[in-house]
Amino acid sequence: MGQKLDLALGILNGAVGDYLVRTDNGLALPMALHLHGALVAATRVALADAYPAATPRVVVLVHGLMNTESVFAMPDGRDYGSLLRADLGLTPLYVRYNSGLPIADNGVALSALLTTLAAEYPVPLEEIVLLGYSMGGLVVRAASHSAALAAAPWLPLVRRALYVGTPHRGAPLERVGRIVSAVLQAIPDPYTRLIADLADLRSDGLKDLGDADLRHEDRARRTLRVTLRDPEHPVPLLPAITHHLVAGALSDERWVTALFGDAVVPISSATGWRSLGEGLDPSRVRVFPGLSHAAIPRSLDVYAQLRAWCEAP
Amino acid sequence: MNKTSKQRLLGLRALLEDVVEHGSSAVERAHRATAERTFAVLEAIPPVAAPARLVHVAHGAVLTGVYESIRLVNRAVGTVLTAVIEETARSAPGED
Repeated sequence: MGQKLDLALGILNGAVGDYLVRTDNGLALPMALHLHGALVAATRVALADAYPAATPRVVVLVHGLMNTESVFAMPDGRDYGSLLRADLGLTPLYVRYNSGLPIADNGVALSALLTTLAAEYPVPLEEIVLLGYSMGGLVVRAASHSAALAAAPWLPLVRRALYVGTPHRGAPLERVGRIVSAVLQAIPDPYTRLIADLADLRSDGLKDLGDADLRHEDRARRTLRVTLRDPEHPVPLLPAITHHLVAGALSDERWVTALFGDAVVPISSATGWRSLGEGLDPSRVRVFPGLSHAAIPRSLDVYAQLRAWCEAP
Repeated sequence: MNKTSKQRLLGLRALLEDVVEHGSSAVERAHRATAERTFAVLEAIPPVAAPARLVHVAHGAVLTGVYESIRLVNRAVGTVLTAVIEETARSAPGED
């Protein structure tokens, strides 16, 4: 019941989470660490209690839109975090947040949470590995951007970031939704407008996915484009961190992969290095044929690659 | 009932109330706009213009009454639910 309720709240927050915050609704999820479904306060006592065998290296897992950290759980209960703990000694920290808020806001909140964590973690932190799935990868990037501007103390501890199915160059499905909504709004019929109004209720976070808007200034200059072409992204990857990108593909067939990607995120967006800055090593980008967007956050094949990247010096 | 559960129940109550409030207002706007088109045509035809205007006014009044009633009942149910949740939380407090 608890996990189903948490998932329902995650979906609700992804759909209308910005509205919940604006109306001070108790269903809005605050950004916080969770372990086995329970909230872990970012205080030294609570962290020491929740992680009695805390290690100096941690991996911070950030879920995607309309998810909770349960999106990483495999059928046998393991996940990328628990596997990295068992194999490499990284303590997994699971972030739960309101995915309906603007990505920029969640980035600032994640940066603040990691600042607190860096101060309150029970043992001195040596390394923070960031792992974001889907929208979570964009939240990680927004947090890194915000931390770089504010010279946040946790950022120098990050040496690698892992992005799993992250739409670095936006999600065409949202851009299509934006166009459909605008077309419906333009039709001078009261009931069509009613449907358009309903379609437009989708959250700020969801709308941000269209062009992968990481900053408020990017959201402000958002324009309606008829083209479905991916935008060039104005926020490059931070050069001080090694970035590793994982993309799923529905099939081995090249045309299926080119058209549909992992069914939600196109390959060009998940591996969109051309817009992410020069110098991204091709060995740090991996496409997994046969893995959909839903399967990619809990795949042993993906884990093997993530582990290999984390093992590298 | 712990503090989180209470906040969530109150949140659910508020969300359902918002859905009915905003939903009924949106449907009312669409309903009214559709009716306006029909009345505009009828009121442009001289033989039926006068009775059409009367029906138009009556229709508008009924429309307002019906949708306002829905919103009033919605708010009343919301107030009752809030009281029930507050009372339950007070009589059976739980740990967070």
